[in-house]
Amino acid sequence: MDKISIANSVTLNRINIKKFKTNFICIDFIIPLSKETATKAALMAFVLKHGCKKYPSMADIARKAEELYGAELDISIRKKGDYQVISFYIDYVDSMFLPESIDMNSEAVDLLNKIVFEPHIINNAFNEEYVENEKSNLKDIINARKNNKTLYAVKRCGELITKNEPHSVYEFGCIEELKKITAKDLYLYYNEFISKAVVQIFAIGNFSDNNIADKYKVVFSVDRTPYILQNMPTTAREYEEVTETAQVEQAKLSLGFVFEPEEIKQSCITLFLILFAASPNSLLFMNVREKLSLCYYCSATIEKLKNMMIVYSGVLPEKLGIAKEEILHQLNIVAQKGFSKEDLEAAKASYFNSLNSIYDNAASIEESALSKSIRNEEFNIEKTKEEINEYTADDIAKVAQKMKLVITYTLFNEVKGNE
Amino acid sequence: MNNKVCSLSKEKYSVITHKTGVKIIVCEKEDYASTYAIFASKYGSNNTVCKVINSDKVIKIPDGTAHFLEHKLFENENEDAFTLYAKTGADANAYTTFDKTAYLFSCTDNFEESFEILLNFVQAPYFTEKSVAKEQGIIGQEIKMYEDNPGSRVFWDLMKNLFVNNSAAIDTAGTVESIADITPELLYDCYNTFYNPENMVIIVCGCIAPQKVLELCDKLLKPKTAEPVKPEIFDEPFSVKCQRSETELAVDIPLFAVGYKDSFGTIGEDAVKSAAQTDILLELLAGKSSELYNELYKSGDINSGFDFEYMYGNGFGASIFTGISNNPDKIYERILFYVNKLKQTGVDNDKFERAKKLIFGKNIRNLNSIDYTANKMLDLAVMDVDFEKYMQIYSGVTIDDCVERLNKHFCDEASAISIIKPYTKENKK
Repeated sequence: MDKISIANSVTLNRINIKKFKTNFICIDFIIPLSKETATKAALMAFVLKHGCKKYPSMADIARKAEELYGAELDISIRKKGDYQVISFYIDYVDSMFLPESIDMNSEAVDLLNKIVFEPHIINNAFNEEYVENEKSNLKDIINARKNNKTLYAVKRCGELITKNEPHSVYEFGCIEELKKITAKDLYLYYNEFISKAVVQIFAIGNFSDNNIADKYKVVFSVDRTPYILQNMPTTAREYEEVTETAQVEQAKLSLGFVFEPEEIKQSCITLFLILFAASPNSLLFMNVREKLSLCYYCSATIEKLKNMMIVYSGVLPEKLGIAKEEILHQLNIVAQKGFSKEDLEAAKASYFNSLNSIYDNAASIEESALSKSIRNEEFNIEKTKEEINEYTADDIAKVAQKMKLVITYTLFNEVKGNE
Repeated sequence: MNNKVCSLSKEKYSVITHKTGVKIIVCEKEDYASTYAIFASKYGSNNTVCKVINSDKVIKIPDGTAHFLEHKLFENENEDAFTLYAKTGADANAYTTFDKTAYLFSCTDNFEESFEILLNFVQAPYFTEKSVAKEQGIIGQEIKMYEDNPGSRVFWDLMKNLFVNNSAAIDTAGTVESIADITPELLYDCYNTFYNPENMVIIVCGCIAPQKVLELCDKLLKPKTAEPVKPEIFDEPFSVKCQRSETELAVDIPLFAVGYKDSFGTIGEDAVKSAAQTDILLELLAGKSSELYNELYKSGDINSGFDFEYMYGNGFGASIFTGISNNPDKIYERILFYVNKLKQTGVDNDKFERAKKLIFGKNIRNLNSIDYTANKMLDLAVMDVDFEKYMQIYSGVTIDDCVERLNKHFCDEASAISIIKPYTKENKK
């Protein structure tokens, strides 16, 4: 991967790779996550996608993308630690597959840049109609959050663990803030956003020359005053049980854990997660699901920037207590080194498999490289593999020993639960 | 061995009919770290009747059996396949749909060992009263999980609305009641009938030589009585069962699915031709440059989650529009309106060409993924359609084809909507 400095806190990561049929350009803007700005940032992204100076309407942009053989132009909004990541990307067929001669790299990067850097502005404000339209869109997205109860139970637990910290803010914002935003405010915020965000640009595909770097040096040639990004680790707190009700057939159980930051290598934490929860051979899958038939799914996720782990499961309401006991029992088994040498080898093999396949997909390259850069870690798969090979059962047990349960979150049907 | 290169996508693949009768396709993807392998049976939830092989017995198959069998095949007397895969580092899974059951893995190392595990366990059925009872518990929970899942419910409610006799109307997992009728004997009858070599397909996609795959198959595939099983074609009426349904679930904003069905079940190349024409028509009707999309987005009735696709296989097909909205009935009405408008005004040539370019680009983009490529090749193999032919069919679609398809498939009487909405105050407990 070539890292090219474009401007103050703007880096281009160019990965010249010939095996894909499409090329992928993604501009990631990283900003501090806060209740005051999260909604504005999310709304701004949708409004930018709605129209730009050269292609003022959604239909105009869509027609241009169709002419470029269905170039996929979109945004994504993610949360990483205490940061919000607003991304604009384009994915398009490489020229070699087309029946006509088009310089697709130039056309695609120009289209993307027009949308992000040459917005459709009227009297120093975004188009008011577009702003209202996208407020309605964003409101639907925020309201739909609870539609997927499985995902909601995981996210909710994460917010409870990090209560009062920036990470507890929903990355799409909230409806109370949405109501306050005007088209003029939003354009003012846009200028601040472009000048202050820390930017990582990814160009993955058939990019062998310096054209992309040159284009972005022009785009970012104005003075910048980037944010100093600071992510605070989560501190352990007093244990809390939170119950919410919904008319669900299957109860959702999420257990939130915090562990001491910085004492353990990130790859060791991931290896622990795979062995404990995140593979079909993991202790949770084999015991909580397969042996005891307590649930259909039982897995876990770790947010390294917030040194927290969430174990999540879908359980029959009458089995909530037993499921929780069994999950904690399995964690204790890991802490006591009660797993076999074969379990550890299997977890390492599974980890190697997922590392090796990162380079088979442009989006997974971007996701992994971005996460590493946010954590100030080197993106070096070979080095990570060397670390993994060295880990012993003691190392994995130490990770389990550090896990402190801080939240038990359950979502269940109050009526059925009492039957 | 028939070695080919797809002229449009540059895909290199080989097609082999093995001496046992199994069809094998190997797609070479240089420079990819992963290899993806599938061993599949052309047996899915659309198989409702089993004429047991080497017997006069004809059984009505309980709903959910194909999916149940998929779960059970992972276990044999001594161990389960996941434990074996754990040693090789492969990431394994399986799925059941209307016309197939697929067992698969992807790996970046130890391909031969993982391939051996795959071929061995799929060819070694082992069903007992105890293991069947345990699985009834697990699948029972899976069914409940999907009952809570609004995305899954809105889809299956739509399928029930659209189809009268076609068993595409039935949830692949069945119901807690229907799977209670499953016995080891039934599973063996279905396995022996449907999992015979001439009814099975192997797909391998990745950095692997076809000759190597053939050698492994020669070593591992067991000869047995083989006969292909024809896909079930249902006598499906033109009109739908129910044009509109509403279900209450614990959601905060309603979900909708609007669909048009094919009542005439096409198979093979005819099915792919219909798919190509329908994909282009859907883009014309509801893509981001369409009047429909822009009108409904502007009025706030749809949002960025709005989507559509044409899903199909041997003997079934349906166009489906999905999303979340506070006004689902209006969306249905506008879709019908714009379909009828397109029938009256005709298909504009510039719009047609742009839609066709978009679909071409989408088909090429999808082939970046080894998973997608392997599963697409499986879909086509189940329908006996060659991959190159599939790409050529898409390139060869004309405006006249689309006009004919528009009039045949997009008919008001063959359409329906399903809505998932929040509980009303009275029904909130």
